[in-house]
Amino acid sequence: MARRSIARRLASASAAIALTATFGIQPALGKGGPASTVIDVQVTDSSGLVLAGSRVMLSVMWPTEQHWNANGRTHGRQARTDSTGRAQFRLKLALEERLALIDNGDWLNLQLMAFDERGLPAGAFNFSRYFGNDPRQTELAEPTTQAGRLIAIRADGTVADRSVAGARQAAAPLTASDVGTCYYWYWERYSTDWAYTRTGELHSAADTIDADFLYGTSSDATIDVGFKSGTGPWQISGTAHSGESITTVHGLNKASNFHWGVIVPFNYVLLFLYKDCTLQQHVYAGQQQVEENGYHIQSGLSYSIQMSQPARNTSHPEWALRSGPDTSYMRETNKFKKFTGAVSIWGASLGAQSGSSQFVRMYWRWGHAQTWHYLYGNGYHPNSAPVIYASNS
Amino acid sequence: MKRTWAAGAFTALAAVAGVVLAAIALRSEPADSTYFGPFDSVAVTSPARPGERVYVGVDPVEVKPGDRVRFVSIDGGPAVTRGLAAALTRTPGAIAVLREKDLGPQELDSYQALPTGDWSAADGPIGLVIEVVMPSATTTITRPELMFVVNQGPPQRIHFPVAARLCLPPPDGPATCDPPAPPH
Repeated sequence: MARRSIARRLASASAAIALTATFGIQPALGKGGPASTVIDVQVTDSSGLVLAGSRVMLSVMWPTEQHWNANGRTHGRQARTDSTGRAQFRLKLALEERLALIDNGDWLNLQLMAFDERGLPAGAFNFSRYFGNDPRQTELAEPTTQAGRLIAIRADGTVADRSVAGARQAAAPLTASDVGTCYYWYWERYSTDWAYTRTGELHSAADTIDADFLYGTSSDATIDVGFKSGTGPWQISGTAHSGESITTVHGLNKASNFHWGVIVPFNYVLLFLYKDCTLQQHVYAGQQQVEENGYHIQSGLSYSIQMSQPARNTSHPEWALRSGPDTSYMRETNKFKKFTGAVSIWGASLGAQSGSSQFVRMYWRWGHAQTWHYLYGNGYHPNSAPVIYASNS
Repeated sequence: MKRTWAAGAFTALAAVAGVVLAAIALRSEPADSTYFGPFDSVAVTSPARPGERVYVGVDPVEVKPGDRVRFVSIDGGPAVTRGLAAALTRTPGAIAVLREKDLGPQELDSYQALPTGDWSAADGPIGLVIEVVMPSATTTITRPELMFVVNQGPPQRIHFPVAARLCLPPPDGPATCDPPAPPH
């Protein structure tokens, strides 16, 4: 890849900077869980040219309300890309980060932010990594986050969004001359709320005694992260994984002829980006983020949006699975369908996808009024289908 | 006294040798083949009366283009009597779990008993089924092992992450046959 001055290129690109980053991660397992890891990053622009000398920051995003309460703000590590656009974060997890990892089912939610030559955020990307040893979780890791597109951040120097930040900032937008050189950036919690989030579909045909979508003793979902710069629109800046453990199993338990979307309660947090500068500390930078903040344990699963299902394609018997009278079937592998617009919160519309794992199971138990009970996928065997449909013919 | 000491030493030596041999045996156990898969974890249950035949399906497999694959044997414990294979496109649909009386008319005619002849990519997804004869009490079959041969090479084996629990029907068995944990 050709090398070019980041200063010249970013200055000319203004607000339309598109960056990509590739990641390599090598967890180093220590006693009691991973203590350190190495995250290799390479930042390129949209044409594939490496960005040399770019400042990048990696932040561990707290997974639950409890961790935001304990830590208050994110702690970012900063590095500068070399002549090949690469930077390496030797991430030795602090105690609070290890606790966050453990409380999130060994999943770590991270954000990479790249800065332009003026020291302003130019791109951001949220992703998660699994550090445990359970192959059922490893297979849920999102391969697309091995290389991600950093969404462009409007870095025009007008950092204040008075309409949203309210009393937290000065009446007029702050400029560089007001704050001096900014050297440290961090996210702080502004608000929290919970919302039902669509993560699955449950279909059952006649002669079904139990049709269950079970969200078990841990949540297991990958949910989009919303990012907003200034008065711009919400964009999706990547994903975060919810793996919080709880003590109660929640399920949606229905019987025959049920065809509905499954909704799972999650907490969400609205974050504001702040910076510390030479002339002023704790300056709102103008960026906001919405991401999942754990499992909302007080509310069980529910359902919304009645679904239809495609008729079973009898010319593809390999997509169907038959079970006899008084039998049952349970699956706990692969992932379910990703639903766009799975939740709307603070104006951000986020997609969500549930794992199908030891924590999230689908289960059917049938009666004996029918000989054959079909489960089928639309183009898939039910063992791996993103949505499993049910019929008796 | 001397004989007692010698016997004790011999016992200790034998125990150490046993541990070493067991460790070697465990280490030398060949890993599962990656020719097929990865496979999905499922668990099924069915009622069955003693002596009744029940058919439990495992994940379908597909032969890679240009290869010839022969299924040699399937092992799921003493209750499993044989393995069967069929091109799923020639069946009424894959079997999750069906008792013999619930099979389609001549359904087993579509299947070959293991060891089978050669299969190719043209066969499409191949359904593998284990035939279980219900013993006198509830039984659970976990991770059945398939032995197969690709292009007349050495035997390879895989374990399917499938569990099947067969319960006696009420009143001899439980009102609900609870599913086992899907294995991995």
